[in-house]
Amino acid sequence: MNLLTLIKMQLNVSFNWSALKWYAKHDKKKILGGIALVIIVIASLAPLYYFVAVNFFKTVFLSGYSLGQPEFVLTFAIVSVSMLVLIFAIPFIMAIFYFSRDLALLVPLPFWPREIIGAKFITVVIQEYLTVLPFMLPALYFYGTGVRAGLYFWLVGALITLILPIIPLTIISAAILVLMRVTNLGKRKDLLRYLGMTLFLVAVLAFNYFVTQLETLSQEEIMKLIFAREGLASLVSRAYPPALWATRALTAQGAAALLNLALFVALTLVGIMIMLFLGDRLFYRGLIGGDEVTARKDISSDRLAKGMSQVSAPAWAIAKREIKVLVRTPIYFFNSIGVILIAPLAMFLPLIWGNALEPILTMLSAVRPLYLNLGAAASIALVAAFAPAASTSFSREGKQFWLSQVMPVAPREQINGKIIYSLLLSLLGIPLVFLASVLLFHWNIQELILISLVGICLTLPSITVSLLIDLLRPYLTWPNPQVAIKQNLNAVFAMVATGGLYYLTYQFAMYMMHRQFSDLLIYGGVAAFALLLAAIPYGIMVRIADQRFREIIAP
Amino acid sequence: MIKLHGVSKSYNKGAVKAVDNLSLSVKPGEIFGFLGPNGAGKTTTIKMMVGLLQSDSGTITINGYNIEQEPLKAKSSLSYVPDNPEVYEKLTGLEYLNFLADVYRVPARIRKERMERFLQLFEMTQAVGDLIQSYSHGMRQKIVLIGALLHEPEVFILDEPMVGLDPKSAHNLKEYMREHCNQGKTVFFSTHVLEVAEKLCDRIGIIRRGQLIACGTMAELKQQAQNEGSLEKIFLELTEV
Ligand SMILES: Nc1ncnc2c1ncn2[C@@H]1O[C@H](COP(=O)(O)OP(=O)(O)O)[C@@H](O)[C@H]1O
Ligand SMILES: [Mg+2]
Repeated sequence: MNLLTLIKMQLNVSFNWSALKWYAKHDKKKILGGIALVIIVIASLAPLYYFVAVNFFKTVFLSGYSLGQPEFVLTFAIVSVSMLVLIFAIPFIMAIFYFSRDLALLVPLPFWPREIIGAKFITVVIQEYLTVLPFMLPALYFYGTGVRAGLYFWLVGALITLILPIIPLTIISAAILVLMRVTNLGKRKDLLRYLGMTLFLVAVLAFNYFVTQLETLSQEEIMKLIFAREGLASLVSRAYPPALWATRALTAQGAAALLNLALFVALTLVGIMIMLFLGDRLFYRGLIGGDEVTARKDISSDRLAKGMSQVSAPAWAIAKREIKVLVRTPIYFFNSIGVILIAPLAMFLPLIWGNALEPILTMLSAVRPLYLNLGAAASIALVAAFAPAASTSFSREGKQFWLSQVMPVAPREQINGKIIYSLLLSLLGIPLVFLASVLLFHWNIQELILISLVGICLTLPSITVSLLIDLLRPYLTWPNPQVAIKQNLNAVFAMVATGGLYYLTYQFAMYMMHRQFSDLLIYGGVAAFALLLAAIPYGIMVRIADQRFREIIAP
Repeated sequence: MIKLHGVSKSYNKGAVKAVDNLSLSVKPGEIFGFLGPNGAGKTTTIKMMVGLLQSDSGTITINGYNIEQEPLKAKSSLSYVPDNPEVYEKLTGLEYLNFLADVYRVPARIRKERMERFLQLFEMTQAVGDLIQSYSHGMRQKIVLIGALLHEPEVFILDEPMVGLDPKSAHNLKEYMREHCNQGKTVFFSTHVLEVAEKLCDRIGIIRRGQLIACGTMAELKQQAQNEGSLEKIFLELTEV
């Protein structure tokens, strides 16, 4: 009974039901505004989703179908979702288990650690459906309608969709429970935790690599596999074996289907049990003293004197503050810098392992250098745009926003500080371009400089429009840092707005190419156009900043 | 110098009138105590004075600058210590102080001397190299306090500053306030404890349900209380037993 209360309370807190109910009663406008907002987000993402994702799944289904393997689309979706959850839910679980504000309240209550872990885990699973559904719905739809599946398929499909995120989430949970317990022994906890999470990621990728390379297949063997029954499915599911069971549970006949379903459900239950078991033994011991920071070391008078006399201009002081807070808060670090560094690797490595790189390279070598270089510049900007560093910059100040309101630094100057900080972060994309140059494209120095410069210009519109959105509706009352940076609608809005601006830039570049301008002129034109686009949100921000800083109510 | 004229503020679209047509002024060289029970509207008033909340009506001037019309000048001449010290946990005390010195544009030489002095006064020199995350509530309060003192503000505004400080630090803070005022500067602080206000303040304003019900020196207030039952009652409410 108590446990149910706990679960209800956790759901209530993470989805803000009480606040919603309160507003529904007292402030209808705010609720309607909120609903309108959600509709706008969905409406602005829907066309993109439809054209890219839904068509993509349709293609996957049809190509599998034409080989007599309609089930391939299911395996493909299940594997993709599971890998996505496995990689990107790490900071999420970490935040929910260890950095929630309500822990100080929960731990003294008479609950088993496993009960607290379990209740929090349920909220995570529910939130992961946002990742799962966009993949599973089209896959189930195209398969189901394509082969005219019966009621059994749809029922089992719903069940598998619901329990799909659990296995990867329990793997992460177990790893994090162990990690937090082990690092709690050491002195430099935060550093150890960064290393631990990185290690876990490397392990996931390495496992992936290992199982895909288990037997190096010749071209013929691959062909044979592709045309074998369930060939594609078994090829893809090597990265995540349970996917094959889930696929068979959906597509096999009679007892075989039930057996595979039982296997998949059993593995899910085993995962949950292992997690709860570890939770009872490790959770509190990782938690208590978990936010203890490096032990007091007396500061030498030298260092003190030096630290006291470092003077910075206010904008620069603000940029430094932003970077320090970002780097030293594990959740922020993983969701921003982590994304900038991991996302390209996660895209590249499978290509390298899958031997898909060579054909792509040969294809690219035929492309005009102009296109390739602009593409590289755009990728610097895109990677930076995926890290919600600018779009949550005001939100992340949270309860400390009062300081920004009280300090005698013009809001415009504080915004400049945030722009400097965001630019510095996006510079992280440049080493990746250098890496790509060494490994793949062999650009010369001039080209590298050109790509970097254009890339930086291209990041600016994203930065200013993201800051503008966050300034317009900062989310300051978050319960834990993960919510501030990841479950912040501003990050989504910023992504959509950035997409719009980049689309304009793309059209402009196409126009210039069409008119056959010289290459140098095109580089310059694209950079100038991007700067122009960046200036518009900046101008709006400067105009409204004073007013906004006065209006915003710090919690 | 602080001037409030006809300041009002309500929450929830007028449902809660937190501050109601409040006027008062504090002269340079004066320590002013803002006394009232919980929920009287002290924090709300102070937040309007430092630019954290917009008033519904009325004007507030700090050191001659209107907080809404010339916010930067007003803010440059004031310092604020909130009741609840929310500071950047991931900065060290030293980094935080340096950050504040930067945004208040305190020159290098002066900032060093002041930091040393205040760190010593509040016994924080040892801890200043650690992350604020590791500080106790009282230590956080002290680091905010030191940060607020770095630019030697004309007007010093504190919300319930004695709550949570150990007796020695509270004593040092009181001494400092006195010293500060002797230099012709202004101190404004809120409290819900009569004794604190009585011992420290030149003048006291009593606020209840958003209204200033009495204002003057302690002697004047006591005089008035003998004639007015309501003031008498509030005195009893605010006296620690
Ligand atoms: N953010 C808020 N929203 C709604 N009501 C508030 C808010 N802050 C304060 N109040 C109300 O305003 C009144 C004055 O509060 P406050 O200024 O904090 O009092 P004090 O600091 O004197 O204890 C109280 O009735 C309180 O409930
Ligand atoms: Mg208060």
